[in-house]
Parts: sequence; structure tokens; C-alpha cells
Amino acid sequence: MPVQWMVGIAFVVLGGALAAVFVWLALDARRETWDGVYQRAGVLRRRWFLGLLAFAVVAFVVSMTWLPYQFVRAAQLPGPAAPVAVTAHQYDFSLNVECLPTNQPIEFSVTSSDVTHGFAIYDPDGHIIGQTQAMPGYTNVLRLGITKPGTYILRCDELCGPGHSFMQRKVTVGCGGSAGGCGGSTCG
Amino acid sequence: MTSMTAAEDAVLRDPARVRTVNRLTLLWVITGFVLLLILGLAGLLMRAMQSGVLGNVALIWFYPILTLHGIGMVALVALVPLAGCWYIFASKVPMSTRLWQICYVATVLAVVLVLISTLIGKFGTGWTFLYPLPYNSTGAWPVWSFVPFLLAVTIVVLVVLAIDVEFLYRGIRKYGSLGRMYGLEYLVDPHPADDGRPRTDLATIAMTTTALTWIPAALLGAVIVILELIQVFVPDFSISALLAKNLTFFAGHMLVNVGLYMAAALLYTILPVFAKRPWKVARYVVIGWLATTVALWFAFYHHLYQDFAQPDAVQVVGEIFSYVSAFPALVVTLFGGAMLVWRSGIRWSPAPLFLYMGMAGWAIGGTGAILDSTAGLNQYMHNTLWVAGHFHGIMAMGVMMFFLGTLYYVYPVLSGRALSERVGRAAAGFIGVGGWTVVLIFFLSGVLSEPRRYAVQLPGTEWLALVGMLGAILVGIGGLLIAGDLARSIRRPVPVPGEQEPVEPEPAPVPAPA
Repeated sequence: MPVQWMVGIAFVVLGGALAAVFVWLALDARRETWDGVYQRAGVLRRRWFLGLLAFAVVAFVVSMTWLPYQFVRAAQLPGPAAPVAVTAHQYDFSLNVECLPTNQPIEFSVTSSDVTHGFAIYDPDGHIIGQTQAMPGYTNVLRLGITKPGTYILRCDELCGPGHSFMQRKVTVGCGGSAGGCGGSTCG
Repeated sequence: MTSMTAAEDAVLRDPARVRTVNRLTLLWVITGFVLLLILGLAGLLMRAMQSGVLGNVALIWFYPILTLHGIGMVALVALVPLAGCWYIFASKVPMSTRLWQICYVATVLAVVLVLISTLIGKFGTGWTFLYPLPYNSTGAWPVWSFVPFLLAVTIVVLVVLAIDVEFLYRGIRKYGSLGRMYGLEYLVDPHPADDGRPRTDLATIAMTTTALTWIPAALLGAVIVILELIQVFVPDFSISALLAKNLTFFAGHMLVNVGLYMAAALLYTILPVFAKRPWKVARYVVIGWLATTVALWFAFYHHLYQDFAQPDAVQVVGEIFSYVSAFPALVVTLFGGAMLVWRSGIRWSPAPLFLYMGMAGWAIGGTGAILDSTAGLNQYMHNTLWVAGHFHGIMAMGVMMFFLGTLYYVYPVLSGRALSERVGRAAAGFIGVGGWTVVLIFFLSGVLSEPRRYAVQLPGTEWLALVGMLGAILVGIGGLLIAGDLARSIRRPVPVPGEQEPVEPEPAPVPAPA
């Protein structure tokens, strides 16, 4: 299941629970007044705080294994990576390869020659599988493992000018052992 | 520190001043409501363009309208709660009516400047004016159009700053020290004895937090505005894009948050009047707001999670403080508000209804925000319409509902003219259903990886924008119902029935718990 759907389900569960509580409280609020709420509220607040704290601590610790940064990804995706240089510009991406491998990690070195762009990789099913920003003067390194061959789409997801929604490039994944296709020169 | 003098007390009771305060407040509230309608229409137009029903108009107008809607709403999120807070504090301390009049005129000027920038200059960077996009428009807008935009931003920054500084000055004179404004004495003694000096209240604590966080943010915001202004006139001048982004989001994130926290001050003040229960200062409240003061300084880093050039430790700090900043909202304000109405026998007239809807919007929209502030999940959701979902949840269905609740409370009090409860409830229904349609469609689009700020949607997803547009139309109907009732109250005024309680800084105590 794509990560996006898991995030959506988490939102529906948590947000739905909150919505249910708000609706129930609103309906219950019209009932006869009960000043015992003050004593009850103190106990509930303590439990609410401790429950949230426990949830947040666990979520934070687990989420550290999801970080997209090099120090985590290098440990999760060991071995030599296929280097891919990406330069974003209004309104296209230039890559030094046309095809990406499936059997080794890929290391995208992403920069921009004009304004700040987004560099989002969409799988053949249309979900983002990884992204970073393409910023002038900086190179952001995104390490990614792609196992499913097919045609992927690179899209800009940071507003970069009037042509923003048309800034995309197709790239083929599944060319064996190493990135290639242009012999090291810039494609595109 | 000097406390308030008898002369200052006399100023507060001066009938002429009270009339001026009331008129100014009405002016701000009505102006804010009209701007909300206009900027909401801009949002509706954007969804219409994205749905394809307006043909190729999007190619020219989407980004200027996006920028107008974005900067306008961000300013409104800060300024209308500020107007409400100004009214609350003007009844407690002698806030300068002259300064507030100047702020009003300056704000009108800022509106004109933004209209010139976006509708004449077609400036279209979005409200974040991410460096160096303003100078690289590929022919879509001239560089001059950035100047009125920056001047408008400067005006909004200065208006909030001026009132914050005056609030701190007046507050220290009234309460004796900054610590007492924060209620620090509650940290050592949960029930401090009466020492003959005024004690702080929840709205003052919230406003003190916003003032102390906004002052440094305004200064750093001024730095980025000045640097970007220099490049307009000296094209060879340039700055680091990463530095610019950090400064922009430090100030920008802070501005929308201080708006949210000033809106919380309105909630603290008005909801107890209708629930007929006090909302008291307590130790956990003070701790919560102190935590907010600290967390706000670092939570903004979550805007830069995808800038891998930032140090990794900074990204982790961003996640920690994003989580920390959620606690005061969930444990202090939203939980406190929920307990305030729980079996209170409250009657859901429009004012408490909108305030309560705002609490729900803050909580549910905030849930989407917390998920997105997790760096590992942000990798998949960043800059998709999920982001639009969570901030419309918090701001449109949160802060703006607090504003409408405030409008329904202060308008009858200040004008003596009643608003129709039936119309208000119907408007709340349209706005609730329509608003949550807009927000949930944004969330669903984010799950489907639809990028935000696309003039033209990804193929096959236009229907999502169409449903969002229909939701926005419902919101518009709700807004027009309120506008119509306001207009009716001016043409055919109906006196407010019975006594409506004035805004009470500290609501009257209720009988002790059983």
C-alpha cells in the first residue's frame, strides 16, 4: 500500500475520532448542566496529556527510521549507488542518464540553475515515491531504491513560475545494473 | 515598573473614547468580513480554473489570483484576530485609538498595493515569494510588481508589530511585569493570594505569547524584505536561496501562528460568556503557553524538510518542536474549550456555534498538520494538496470560524442591532458542509499525490477540483447569508433583545463544583 494511503487512513481514524467527540460533546452540551465536570475534567486532562505524550514519543522514535536523509538511507540502502545528476530549470529537468537501475540504490544529486523547484518522483501508479528540493547554489542528495520497472514521471512540486504545472519529464526505470543511456552527457 | 495611573483609568471610562473604540472595532470587523468574502471568491475562482470550467483563463490568471488569495488570507488570519484582541484589551488598558486608526489606514493601503501587484502587475509567486522566483518570472510579471507586494507585506508586519509592542507596554503598566502577564506566579503557587494587583487572564497570556514571538519574527522578516528589495534595484546583488527560505518561513510560519493564538484569545474571552462557566488561569495553562513560546521558534523548520542541504540535526529539531507545539493546543485550549461546553446547557446561537466549529477545525486540520510535520511522511506529502488541506482546516475552518463567532458576538454588542439567529445557523450549516468539502477534497487530492499550486490539474483529477469548487460555492452562500443579514440590520435595525453580556475579561464565577 502506498505511504500516502496509510497517511490518509491515519488521518481518517484520528480526525474522525476527534470529529465524533466534537459532535457528541455538542449534542451532550445541551443536556442539563453538571458542575461535576470540573473534577472530572482534571482527571481526563491528565490522562489525555499522558496518552498524547506516550503516543508522540513512540511516533517520534519510530519516525526516525523513516527519515529520508543520507545518514538513515545509507544504512537502509547499503552498497554502491548509481549516481544521477539532476539539474532543474524553468520548466524541465536535465538528467545525465535516461534510464535508472532497479537492482541497486540510486543517488540523485539535485540542483537548480535558476529558481527553487521541487523534484518529485512519481511511480507508474501515480504516487510520489520520493522527493527533494532543487535549489540554486545547493545540491540535495536523495538516496532511493526503486525495485519496480516502468515509466516514472519527474514533476516539479514547488511553485517555479507560470509554467510550473507543465514541468515534468518521463524516465525509464529498469535498465539493469547501472544508470545510463547518455554516456555521461546531459540528457534533455 | 509603574502601574496604571488614575488618569489611565479615567481614560478607559471616557464615554467618547468608548464610542471611538466601538466604532473602530466595528469598522475592522466589517472590513475583515468583506475582505474574507472577496478573498474567498478568489479561492473559488482558483478551484474553478483547476476544474477546467473556465477554459484557458488559468494560464494567465491562476498564479496572480493564487498570490492575492494567499497573501490576503495570511494577512487576514493575523489581522482580524488582532482586531478582536485590540477590542478586548482596549477595554482593560488605554490602547491608543489614534495608533489603531493609523493601522487601519495602513492596512487599506496594503490591500490596494496587493491589488496593484497581483491584478495589474500579475505578480504570481504565491504568498511565500520564494527567492529568487520574483526576479525570474519568464515574462509573466515585471519585477516592479514585486515592490508593492513587499511594501504590503511590510505594512502587515509593522501593524502587528506596533500593536504587539503597545500591548506589552500597556500590559506591563497594568500587571506590573512581563512575568505577571504570563502568569508565572502560578508556577510556584497554583492559587496565588490576592496581593492587591491585577492578575493576568487567559487572553492576556495568549497575547503576551504572540507579542514575544512576533517581535523577533518581524525583525527577521524585515531582513528578508530589505534584502529582496535591494535586489529589485541592484540586480547583481544576490543572497543564499536557503538562507532566504529559512528567513521567509521563520517569519511566515510565525505570522499565521500568532494569528491562530490571537484567535485562541478570542475563544478564551467569548466562549465562557455563552457557556456561563469561567475559563481560569492555571499552572498547566501557563506551562502550555511557555512551551508554545519556545516551540514556535523552531517548529518552522518543518517547512524545509525537503531541503536536504539543511543540517540533519535541524530537521530532527523541527520534528520535535512541531510535535511539542501541538500539546498546548490539544491539552490546554481545545481540551479546555471542550470541557467548558461539556454539559454546560449552552444554547448554540451563532456566536458559540462558530467558535465551537473553529475548535473542531483547529483540531482536525491540526491532525493533518501533525502527520505532515513528521519528516518521514512529509517526504511523500510535501507540496501536495495535503498541505492545502491541513492549513485550510486550521485557518479557514479554525481561525475564520473564530472570527465569525467574534463577529456574531461583538456586532450586536457594539451596534445595538440584532442579527438573525436563524440566518446565522443556516450560514454555519452552509459554511460547515461546504468548508469541510473543500478541505477533505484537498486531503484526498494529497493522498493521490496531486501537487499543490498547479494551474492545470494532473490529467483525470479535474473532478476533484470541481467538487472542491462546489464546496466553495456552499461556503460562499453561507457568507452571503451573513452579508445579507448584516445589510438588513443596517437598513432595518432590530434592537438586541434583552441584555447581552459585555465582553468580560474574567467571566463571573459560577457556583463551586458539587
